[in-house]
Amino acid sequence: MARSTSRAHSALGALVLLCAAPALTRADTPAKPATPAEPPRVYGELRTYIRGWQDTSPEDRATQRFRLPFLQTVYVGSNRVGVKGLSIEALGYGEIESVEPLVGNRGRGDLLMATIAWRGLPNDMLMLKAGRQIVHVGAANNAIIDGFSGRLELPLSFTLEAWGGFTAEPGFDWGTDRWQAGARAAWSPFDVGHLGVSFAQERMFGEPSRELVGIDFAWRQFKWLDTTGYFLIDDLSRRLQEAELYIEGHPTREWQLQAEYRHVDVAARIPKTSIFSVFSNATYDQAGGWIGFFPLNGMLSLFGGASVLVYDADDIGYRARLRARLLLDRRLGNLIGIELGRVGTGTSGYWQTRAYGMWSPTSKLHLTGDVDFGVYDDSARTNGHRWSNVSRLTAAVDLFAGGRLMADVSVLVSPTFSQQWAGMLRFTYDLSGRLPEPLMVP
Amino acid sequence: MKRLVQPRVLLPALALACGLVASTCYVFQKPDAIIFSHKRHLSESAACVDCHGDMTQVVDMVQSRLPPMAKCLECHEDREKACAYCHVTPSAPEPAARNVLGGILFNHKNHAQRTKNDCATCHKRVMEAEEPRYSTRPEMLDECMQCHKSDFRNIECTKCHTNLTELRQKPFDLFSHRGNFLEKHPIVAKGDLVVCSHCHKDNFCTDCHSRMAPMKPSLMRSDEPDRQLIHRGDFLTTHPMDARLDGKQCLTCHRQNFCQDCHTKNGLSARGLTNGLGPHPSGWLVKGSGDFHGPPARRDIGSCATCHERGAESNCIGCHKVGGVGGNPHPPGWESRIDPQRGHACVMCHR
Repeated sequence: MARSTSRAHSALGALVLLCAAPALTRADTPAKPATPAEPPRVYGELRTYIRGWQDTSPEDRATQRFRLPFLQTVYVGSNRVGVKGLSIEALGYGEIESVEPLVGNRGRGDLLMATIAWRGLPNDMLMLKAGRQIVHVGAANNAIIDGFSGRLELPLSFTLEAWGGFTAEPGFDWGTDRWQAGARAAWSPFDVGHLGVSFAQERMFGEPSRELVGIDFAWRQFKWLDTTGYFLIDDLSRRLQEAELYIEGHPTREWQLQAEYRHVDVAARIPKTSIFSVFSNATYDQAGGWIGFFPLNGMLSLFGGASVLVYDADDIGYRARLRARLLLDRRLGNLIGIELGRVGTGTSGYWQTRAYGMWSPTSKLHLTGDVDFGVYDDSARTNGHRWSNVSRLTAAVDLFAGGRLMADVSVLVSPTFSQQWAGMLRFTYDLSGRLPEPLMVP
Repeated sequence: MKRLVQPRVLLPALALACGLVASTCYVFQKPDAIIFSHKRHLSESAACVDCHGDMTQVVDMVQSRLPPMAKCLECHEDREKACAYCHVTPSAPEPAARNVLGGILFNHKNHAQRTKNDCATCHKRVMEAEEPRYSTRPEMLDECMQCHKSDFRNIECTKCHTNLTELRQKPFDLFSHRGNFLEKHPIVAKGDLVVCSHCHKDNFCTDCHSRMAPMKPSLMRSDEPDRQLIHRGDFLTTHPMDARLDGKQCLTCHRQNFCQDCHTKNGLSARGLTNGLGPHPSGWLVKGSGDFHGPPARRDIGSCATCHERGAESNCIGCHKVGGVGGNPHPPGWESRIDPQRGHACVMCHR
């Protein structure tokens, strides 16, 4: 019964994707304008991936097998569909994987997002959105729902938001007893900051699995100082689930200073309908500082810092990172960069270094290289092999307006694989005929 | 008595010192700028067009309507010889610098018609401006948004901006993705997701945040190595350490069944206890051993849940139940509002 339901859901997903197909056809042949001032506009992107790599068999890890999945994603949207303020968007994918002759082909697919939204009233004060969507409202964590969300901007910079719907699961595996809803009221004087109060509830098996009350805020009294944070209280266990505070200063455009503090109760994030929610109330605190220097009008970027995670007095973890990037040509996006990172967990840890570069010898050819090297403290957990290396090369060619073909080759040497070669071909087609800019923000 | 300093040494030294002073003065000479108060001129009944001419007829940002000095002298003729009245460095006067805002499409004529020639509708700060600098220029997020919020939200940037890479607007940190923006971006989005939607459509978030996504983001965008993306490098090896360090991060995007599926598929679940690939050390079930599972489980119960979550079939319940060898599962100070006789998790033991 469950399998037939799953099939029905997969069929429904395929149907929705098929419904998007006519829109793609329209993209190639511009539709008749609704009004001369506001012609229809269809945007989107098609991505085709063909990957191949060798893998170990779980039954016998010395045995290699080859995998060759074919993946197609379709993203299409329009914010001028003839009705003022109305917009539609959909993103889905389908994948066929040829694993090995005995297993045969395996297919899967899903609808990642499909929404219809409307903005109206003077200056877009009201926004309503229905469909599969990510909601990230207030202090609560993001959620993917099949439902609705709405936002109303009131005078004096007040905002009301609400959302609700079934919890989206892979393969349209809906359950009428699994849904979530929430609301947020905020005051956000434009450009200065905001103060929001939110409530969210998620239900599983017909009872609350999460119930969260949150406060989020941001304050930018000065252009160069930004204070942002939130508190999230687990209402079911009456515990502080999370608190986070970021203070960021950029006294000049070249300098950036950040300080962060975070308190996390990991167990509180587990749904209360899970037996694991009753085992622990342990928390940890994280504090860190980061400094960035971006001279030469952002062409050179130097950034580094560290944060410490304190679980209890004798159990401390940390992570630290240094990054340097030099932009050689802003227009073409040519750059080189290096990174050095360290993670320590108290019982184990690792070093990670990266070097990468992007180079466009012509405006239509784009090459990248990326070498990643990791060294591990604890050989017992890595089969005695203390390091791993991933090297990757890509080459992309702009074939025509909006169309780009990329080839990717990577080699992995790791505790798991003595040598793994992987290759990927990716073809992207942007319906608007524009190709991605090399860099948006320095 | 012999002279301490010979003239043939003193004179060149003096000449060198004078040269140094002169060159220093030249190098550090204050560059010229124009002294001008919009506030004062406007309070004396001057109209914008008195100085800026037919600005309301200008259709692009190329044509200059900065008044020439001759325009100033129409009123300030008595100051013709007192250069210091308007010039910061009268010894080296320079024409007023015209800082053209590049990459902007703007039609003053159209806007003047809509605002009925009220320049202060957009140039709000001009009434208070004590300097003739571009502080009087409209800020996009303030003045332009009075009318263009719809364009802003529809990401119709090119209506006004021809070159987004040169965009410089405030507040910088809202739109800057430098530094450790990857770690910070949730906190920005929590407050106002609309800010993100100015540039990114929903599919951008979905690439990383959808539990149904078919491919990890760093692979999907492998030709963008400069982007801050998680799961880079040999993540298969490092992920147990990352999860131990900050388990919350995993739970942000992945649900428990994500880990369970992969561990089961790769022989790292219950079968791992016999094939040597299991995630637990040998003393995991031996109380008193340094690797006993109790303390790490209390520290990060989320890690246990990633693999062992099977509802009433979860293997913890066998020992950790009322009267079981594992004893009371609840930590000291544990409390809940859920009715133990009705809660889905509670009734597994309390029935």
